[in-house]
Amino acid sequence: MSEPTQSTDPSTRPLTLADKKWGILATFGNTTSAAIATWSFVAGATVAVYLDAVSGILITFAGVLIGLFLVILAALPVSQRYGLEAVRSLRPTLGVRGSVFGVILVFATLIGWNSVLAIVLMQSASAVLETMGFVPGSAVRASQIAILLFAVLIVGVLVNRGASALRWAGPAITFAVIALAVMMLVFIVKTYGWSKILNAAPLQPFESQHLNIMIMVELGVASGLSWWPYLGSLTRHSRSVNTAVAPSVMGLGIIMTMIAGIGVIMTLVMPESEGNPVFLLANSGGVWLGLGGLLFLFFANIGTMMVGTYTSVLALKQTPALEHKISWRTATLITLVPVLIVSIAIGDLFLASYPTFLAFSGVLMAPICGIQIVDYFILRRQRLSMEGLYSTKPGGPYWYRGGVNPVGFISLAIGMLAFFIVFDPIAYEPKEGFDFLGASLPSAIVAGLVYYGGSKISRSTRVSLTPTTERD
Amino acid sequence: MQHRDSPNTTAPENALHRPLSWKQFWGLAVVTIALPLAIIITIEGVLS
Repeated sequence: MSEPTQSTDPSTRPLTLADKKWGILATFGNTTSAAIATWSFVAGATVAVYLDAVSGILITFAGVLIGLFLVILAALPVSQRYGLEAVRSLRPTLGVRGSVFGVILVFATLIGWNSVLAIVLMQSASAVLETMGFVPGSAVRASQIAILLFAVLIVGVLVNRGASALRWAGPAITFAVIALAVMMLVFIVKTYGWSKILNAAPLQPFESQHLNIMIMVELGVASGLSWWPYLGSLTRHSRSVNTAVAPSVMGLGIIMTMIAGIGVIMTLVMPESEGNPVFLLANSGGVWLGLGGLLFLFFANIGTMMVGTYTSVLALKQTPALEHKISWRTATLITLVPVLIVSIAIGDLFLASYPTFLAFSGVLMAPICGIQIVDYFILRRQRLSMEGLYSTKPGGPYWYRGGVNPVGFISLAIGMLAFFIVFDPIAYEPKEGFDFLGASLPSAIVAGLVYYGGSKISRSTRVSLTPTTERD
Repeated sequence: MQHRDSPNTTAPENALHRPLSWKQFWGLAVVTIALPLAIIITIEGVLS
């Protein structure tokens, strides 16, 4: 042992078996809490552009599951076995200093997600309150900001209490949200009837059904991949792989698709709703159903923001330069303030870019997953050096060249290039080759292959893989 | 048992969870690869 780790902060150290207190309920509650939010309605609205209700929901489910296969293999076994969160788990692939890229990625991505949630919450909840006559038209902007501040305050208080608060808050929020979602679905079906729902045509599909399906598979895969940062942070608390995998698939796959399905149905029968049924409840359901819709908005979005903020704070605390200098409370503030600024200053613009934002998640997450899977399962046979993961001194097993693994970054860049070759995430346009495997899957496969080949020929990586430096 | 605030950098084998087994891998693959592929192929067949 060349260097005992310098970390004494419980948030940055690896969790031991004794620390892992989350069973199936806590993992299911928190993964579901992360998955269910009004962004699911937005995703559902996108699905309705290309496919009808039944095929749209099933294809989204299929795509999300494929994305989960990649993301679970990449993030869950390493986090669960070694008690790591997402950023620390990048050290073997990107290097000790290179893993700072992971901090930037997680931080930027989750601030993006949290901003989308905050914007939708403040705008939707305020509009519902206006519709129900609780807020005059002249006070809408003020009520939006008040709702935003209230939500951010609750999230801040919960995250400041750490994983112990998530352990009970996640399941509590999840069950409330599922009950309210079922209520909304029943009301939609009673209002429009199964016949209209099942016969509603997609809004603007391509002529090729195969292309419509592949675009929705890609959307699902990108949604599944976007759980990469969340999954590591949450499943590191799980007591075993079995108590981590099944509830993760349930929460991030099945329940997420169920809520997106409400968005699909709502968009097909009432396109101007953009997938959000809360306005229908407020307009036609009376005060109690309107309040139920309002509660859904609050619980769903606050739950996801809570998990996202917790994950961002954890990521920020993995930065060698910051982990001892900022407290958990300060890191929470640093994570929440940008959400406040984005939501208030450029809310509409940011929300309009949502599909592109989601596609960019796929661009970044897919090659990372491909690289991590190859590194952990094929090159390292599920064995990491705990010392290397926590050492910041040159010469450690994950130091590579100047603390950066060039093979990891080259593979990442080539994987991203593979994505851009077959799909334009800005114009949301498929290119030649897209209709075969989509974009995220080829990106992950290419990045993984390049990483494997590069690692085999890279002396630095070969040195790091010698048995003497590995420790279980 | 190590102290709560002391990182487990010298964790012996029995302080870690077992690695993902082949059985767990195939279980995951069936649910998240075989099932979605079956769904996609079925929908393709129905819609075309």
